[in-house]
Amino acid sequence: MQRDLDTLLSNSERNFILKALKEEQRIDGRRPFDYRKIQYQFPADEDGSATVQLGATRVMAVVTAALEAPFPDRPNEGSLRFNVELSPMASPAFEVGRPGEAALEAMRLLERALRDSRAVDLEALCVLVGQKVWHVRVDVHVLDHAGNLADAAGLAALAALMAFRRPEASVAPGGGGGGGGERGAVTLHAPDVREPLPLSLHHLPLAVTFGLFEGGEAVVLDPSLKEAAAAAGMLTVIATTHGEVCALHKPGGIGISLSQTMRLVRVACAKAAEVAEGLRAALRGHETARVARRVCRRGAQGADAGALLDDAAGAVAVVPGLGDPGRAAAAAGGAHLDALAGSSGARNGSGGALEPGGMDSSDAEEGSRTSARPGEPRKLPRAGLVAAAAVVGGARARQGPSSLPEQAPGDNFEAIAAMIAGAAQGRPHSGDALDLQAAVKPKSGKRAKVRKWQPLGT
Amino acid sequence: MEFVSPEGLRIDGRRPQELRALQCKFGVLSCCDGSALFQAGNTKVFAAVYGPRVADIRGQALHDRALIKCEYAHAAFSTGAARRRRGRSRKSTELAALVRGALEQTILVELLPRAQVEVCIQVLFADGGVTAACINAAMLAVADAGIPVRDMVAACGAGHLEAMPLLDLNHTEAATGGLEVCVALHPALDRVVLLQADAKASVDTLEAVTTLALQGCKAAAGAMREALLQHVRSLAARRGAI
Repeated sequence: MQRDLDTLLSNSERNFILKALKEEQRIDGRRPFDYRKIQYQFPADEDGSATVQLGATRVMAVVTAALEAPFPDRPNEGSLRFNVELSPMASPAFEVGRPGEAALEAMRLLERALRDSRAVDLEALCVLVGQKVWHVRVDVHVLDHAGNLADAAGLAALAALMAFRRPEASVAPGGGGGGGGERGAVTLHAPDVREPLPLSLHHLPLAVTFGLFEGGEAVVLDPSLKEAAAAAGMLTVIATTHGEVCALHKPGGIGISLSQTMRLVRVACAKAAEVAEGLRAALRGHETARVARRVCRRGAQGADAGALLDDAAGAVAVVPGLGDPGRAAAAAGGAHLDALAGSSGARNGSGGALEPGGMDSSDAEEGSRTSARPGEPRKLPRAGLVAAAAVVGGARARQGPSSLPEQAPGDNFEAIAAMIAGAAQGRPHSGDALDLQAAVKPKSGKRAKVRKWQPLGT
Repeated sequence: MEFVSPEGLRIDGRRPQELRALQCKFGVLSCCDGSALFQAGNTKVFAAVYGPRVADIRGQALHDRALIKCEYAHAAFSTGAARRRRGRSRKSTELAALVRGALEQTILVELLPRAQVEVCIQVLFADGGVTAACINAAMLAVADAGIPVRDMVAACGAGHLEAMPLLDLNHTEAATGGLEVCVALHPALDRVVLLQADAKASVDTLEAVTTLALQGCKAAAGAMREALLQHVRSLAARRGAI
């Protein structure tokens, strides 16, 4: 790969890069220690996939997991495997077929960053010791190679691992039938039944690559393709957000002094913290969108139950909002939940933080939707039914001790799901009406929150 | 497990900042242009060099410098766990690339355009510090083949156990999964050619361990240089030059 890169660069270009670097200038206008713009995309319909764009370099990572027998030497640990695909689509220097040396180097770097540094808790992936563990596989595809694959691939793999959700598995209490060899069957819960679980990550290792020029005196962060071709050596530091180093990788290249190396390591630690901040913000946006989507998905699944609820108890759900003039105005913003659910991916930093008690904002919106109902024709949109159900769930959740501000949004949805399921079996108790009234009672600041959802939907 | 006893001795009886006994032998193989055996404690590595000669595959030859190829293999009995061998593993490809990277900086490749230098490495016994031993063995074999070099390259590992930097870890010490650093140094130029570090550590710890590894590199370079001089003297004596 590197050999072909040399031919991409003419001598005059090489000289220009070196000359500009002496004045701390780079050909794309960056300063020596600047990253290119980093963008994250998370596809709407699957967990555990991320596309990272670092300038023009684009890398996609997909995480998949399978529940299988563990390796015999590690009966209580899952496994984590990495596969890097450098296809000719990304660069003419890449060849089809078996992974070349460049791909293997990238794979090993990912392994060292995320597995060997024990960033991912592999023991948490064990379901049943010696029998069933999660084998997690990360496929990294380079879509466009414009320099600094190491950082982009590391970031994509990390983003995908952080966005990944695995279905919850539970083991039936063993020995039910007597002293048989079977210790209990493993049940996988569908994502609609139980909230899928994220992987537990101990720290966030981020790769920071430097291009070394001129005997190691001139250095650039995040070298582009041309800078990499002109560079005399590379140094990749894998650092965590807490100023710790997970791995150093300097495979040959020009020799540098120890003091310069340590200076670069410290720069890398600071940069890693910056990049991680961007990644976290993007993931928060993605999580918000995901939670909003789940509300709708529940609606699709529980449509029958919802219809029952609507026929039987529709009045219960709707009436409380009627007498409130403020809610009718808020209803104007009611259509945004659907649009939000369709929005694919969170761009870097666009998504706001999911507030503690994040359910409140959607509650408000859904409440407004229910209040708008009396004006609508008898045939109600499906989402409206969900909204009603959500209000019911919200009321229940608020009653219980679990309605603390720190409560995870998923818990609320469990309550909703429970209510939908309950409604399918029988009509809600008349006592619920009082709770509902409490649930949809307007609070100050709710309208502001409704407005906050709008930019995402449009 | 206790890695440093209260008396300040490690499990193999060394002091924390002590290298294992180094042994260098030259001309151990007959059909290649240069060969060497490098031993650090129990770790034992053969290296053979073919070349400089015309590149095997014409298309691979470089017009302005020599092409360096590196093959790495370890014997099935070299590690404690006898493993099935299924071609080249990721780690062996990585190791070969590391040795090649160090040699590309060391050999004066500009003096040998269109040529090829092939280095074959065989690990007979792996007891920690394999990367460093491979680089050292390759360097000695290159010197034995009489290929011009910029400076000697010497490599050494170091680790961090029980809040103490330890030089040249053996297999038991390295298997704990603590910080391990491998450094290759051009001792006369005082330049770090290769630097590999694994496992999580703070920057200060890393700096302390790397500094210790650099001292180890210098000591190893001294021993290798001494062995080379002795070898050259004995060659000269055999030819009657002295």
